Amino acid sequence: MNFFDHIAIDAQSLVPFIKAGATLAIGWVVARIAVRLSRSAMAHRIAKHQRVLAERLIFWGLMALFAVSALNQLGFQLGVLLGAAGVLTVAIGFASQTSAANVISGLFIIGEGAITVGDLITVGDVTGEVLSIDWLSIKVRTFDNLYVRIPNESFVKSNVTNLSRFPIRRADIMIGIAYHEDIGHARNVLMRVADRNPLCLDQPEPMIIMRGFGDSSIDLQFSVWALRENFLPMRNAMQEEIKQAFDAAGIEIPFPHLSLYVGEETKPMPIDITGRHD
Amino acid sequence: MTTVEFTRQNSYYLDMDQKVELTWEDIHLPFNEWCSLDQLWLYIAQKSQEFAVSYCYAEARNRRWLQFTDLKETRYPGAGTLKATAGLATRPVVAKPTQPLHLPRGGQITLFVGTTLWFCLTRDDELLLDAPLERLSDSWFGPDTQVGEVCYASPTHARLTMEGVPRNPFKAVTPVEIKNHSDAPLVIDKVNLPVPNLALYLDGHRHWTSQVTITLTSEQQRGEVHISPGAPPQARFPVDIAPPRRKLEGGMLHKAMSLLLG
Repeated sequence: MNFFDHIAIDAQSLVPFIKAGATLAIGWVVARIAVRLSRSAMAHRIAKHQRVLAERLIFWGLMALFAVSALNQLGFQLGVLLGAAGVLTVAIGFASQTSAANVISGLFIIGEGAITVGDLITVGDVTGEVLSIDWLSIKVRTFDNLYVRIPNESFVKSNVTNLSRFPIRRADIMIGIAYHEDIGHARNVLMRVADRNPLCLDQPEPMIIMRGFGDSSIDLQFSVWALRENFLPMRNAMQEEIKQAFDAAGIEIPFPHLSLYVGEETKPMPIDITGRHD
Repeated sequence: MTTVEFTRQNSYYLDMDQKVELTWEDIHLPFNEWCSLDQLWLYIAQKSQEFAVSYCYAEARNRRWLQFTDLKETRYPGAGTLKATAGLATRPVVAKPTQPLHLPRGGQITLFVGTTLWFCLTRDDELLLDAPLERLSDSWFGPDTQVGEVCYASPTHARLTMEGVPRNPFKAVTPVEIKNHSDAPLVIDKVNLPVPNLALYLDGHRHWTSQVTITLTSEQQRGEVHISPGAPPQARFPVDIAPPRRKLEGGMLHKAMSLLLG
């Protein structure tokens, strides 16, 4: 008998494959339509990253249902398949604990809503803009344009600072003035600098806090507010303007001084030149 | 011929003798020379197929040379006809009276608050420049640093009669009526004016905005802001200058008292 006679396929045996293929194709179209409908329904209700997650769940959930139906049409016994899948899931779960932890952490991050795509955040020593919140990690673009991937598990365990959560931010500028300067005069000069800078918010009012008596200076904290988007320009401009205003008002910003005593205050320190190296 | 000298540290010096002071009544835009409206200094360079608009802010001083920084310059390719009009602020304005005002329970007052005008330069309905006539400080109005609104700050005398209000061609006057229907007297330290929702009118030499009525009720310390349609009754022969930047549905705004008065 010819070998090819055994593998000859009659047209009837192709029907389940065609049906399964058609089921998958219909499933793909239905899933796409469902995603599109859900996108328009959720457009302004939830954050972008939550919407992306919901869309993926809807798409792959529907595709899984249609795939099961397609397998059924091909004659696979679903009970056996599900049992095998259960065993496989346990095996994969043990083998990929870290990934599973990241996926679960990712769900917590999305549910908590502490950050969203486009926010400026600081995690550990990384500061940058959130590009995406994914199943396993959060992608961040730093200010020097580096692409940083932070695993969701370590994100959940770390202190996270969201720099763009509120519309206004406070800049704390540390200033030292010499001990012989009049603090009231320095206070007036600082307030005038804040008043003249249009990026510095009028309300909440600027504030000056005495930080204490330092080694070489009286330490002041000048706290001024700015809109989130003007924070850096305002802080830069303020420091430059404070220096100029202090120079103009004759207020000294001292540098560290070191006094040496040799036992008796009134006697100068003796210096002997013992040799010369030519 | 340009009258500006460029020096170190991004500072510029302008020859005060050669500038042109503009007025709203007969606004004829000079090309290729500096002109000023209040603290806004403007230089429009007309070339064959483009305009270049430069502007900056400086306080006028009685000396020949005026120093200013932060010159902003933009080129606009294409020809066309330029038109300058007055406009109102792009954000709400916090008017802060020089002294707080006390309003007893059931009382009502009308304040006249002046706010800075904007210079709007258009070319065939295309907006080229939309800038205030003086540099306004940013401000925040709200009960705390989380809940509130980004505004401009504007110190005001908040006069109670029109007699004392000076004729300032660079400011628009808003009549603000405040009615205290709450159970307690009110101390008005500052007022949040919804300026982008107001229309601008000109009456002779004075600019007016729509009248604002703020009514405070005892109900959970809430307030109603009503913006009267048309020019205020104080303007005798008003001419429409600019519609509101933002339309307000029904001319009414409901807000927490902490977002209206401070």
